[in-house]
Amino acid sequence: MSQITRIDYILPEKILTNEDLSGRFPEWTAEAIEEKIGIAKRHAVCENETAKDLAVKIGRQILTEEDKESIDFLVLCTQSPDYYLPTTACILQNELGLRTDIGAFDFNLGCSGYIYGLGICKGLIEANIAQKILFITSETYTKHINSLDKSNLTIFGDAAAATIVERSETRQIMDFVLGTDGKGASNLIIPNGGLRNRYDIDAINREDNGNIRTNNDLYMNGPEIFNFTIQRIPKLVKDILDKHELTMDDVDYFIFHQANKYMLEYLKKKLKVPDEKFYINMREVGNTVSSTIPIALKDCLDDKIIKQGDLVLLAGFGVGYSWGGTVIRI
Amino acid sequence: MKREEFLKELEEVLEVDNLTETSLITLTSLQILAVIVFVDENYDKQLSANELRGIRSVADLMSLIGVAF
Repeated sequence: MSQITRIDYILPEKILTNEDLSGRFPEWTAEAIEEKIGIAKRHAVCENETAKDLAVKIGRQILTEEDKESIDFLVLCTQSPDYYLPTTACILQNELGLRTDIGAFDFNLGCSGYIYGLGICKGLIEANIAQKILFITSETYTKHINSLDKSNLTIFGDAAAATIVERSETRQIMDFVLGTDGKGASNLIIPNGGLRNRYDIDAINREDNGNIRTNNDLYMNGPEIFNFTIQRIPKLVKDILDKHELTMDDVDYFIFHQANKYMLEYLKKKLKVPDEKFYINMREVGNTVSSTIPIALKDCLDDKIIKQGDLVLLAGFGVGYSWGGTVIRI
Repeated sequence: MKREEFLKELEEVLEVDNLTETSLITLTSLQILAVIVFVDENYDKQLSANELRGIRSVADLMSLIGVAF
């Protein structure tokens, strides 16, 4: 059986505030951004800083509290690798000074990535492949966003989180429900830069609802993603509860991917979750993709919003479309 | 929901005044989200965001929702 024994996260130093955004896009006011989206500021990496660099920083930070030699697997979730190859986790293993007789790999998922990562870690432990895993989520969507794309600049922030998952005597990471629907692939995509469409130095600006971007940049059809979420996630929650033979009342707390306040408020209402059992807080960090759930977990633990013994339902959803959920015992 | 009630609710959803069936509207991204929520809650119907982008009047929206008012 497996459990989470430590979580930590890191935010890049550079900050983009709502005042900065309303200065660049005068049609938006700082107050309106915060009221509608629930975000006051977001952090962004510098030009020469990558998701790998953030992963190294958070890896070093969490390893100050751990015996480095005891880590026998490294898993990295990122959609912003340094190179096509080698896999970033190999570089990370070396920079963190981890043992060489351990497994290490990346996987490419966004907002569902933390759930999948927990599932992977649980699988590795229960198959007796690993005993103690360093699982890092690290994402830098700001690198993919056009400087004139006010919608995406407003929503996304960069961050990295590290989670130690290890073998335990009690079952603390429970069962998983996962889902995929590639029909939504084109609704959240960076069209150029892969092998299907190479990065195009002459890519032309496109206007989309007042946002300017090229095909080299991140594109998100926000309303369609919203539609997918409000249709899919209530069913995901029901499936998670059914799989664990739980009712809504049995769950002490709900932590969903912190996409945006508007979406979370509506999901909370639709699922009839009381305010005191539902986490909404992305004010200081924005949507940090695969790191929103570990950031929320760490903040909830530090602020004693969740405590030992609580049953917490986690759900992640987004780019792909890809979604997943699980229940953990704190 | 009666026609008058619908128009009144829609004014709140879109944060605009004096809507009639013939009012011309082009929805912003946030208004599209608000309409999706409004229709999901009141009509248990899921509207496509791409269709909502195409509407030009309140009448278009009413016909997209597709219920008798």
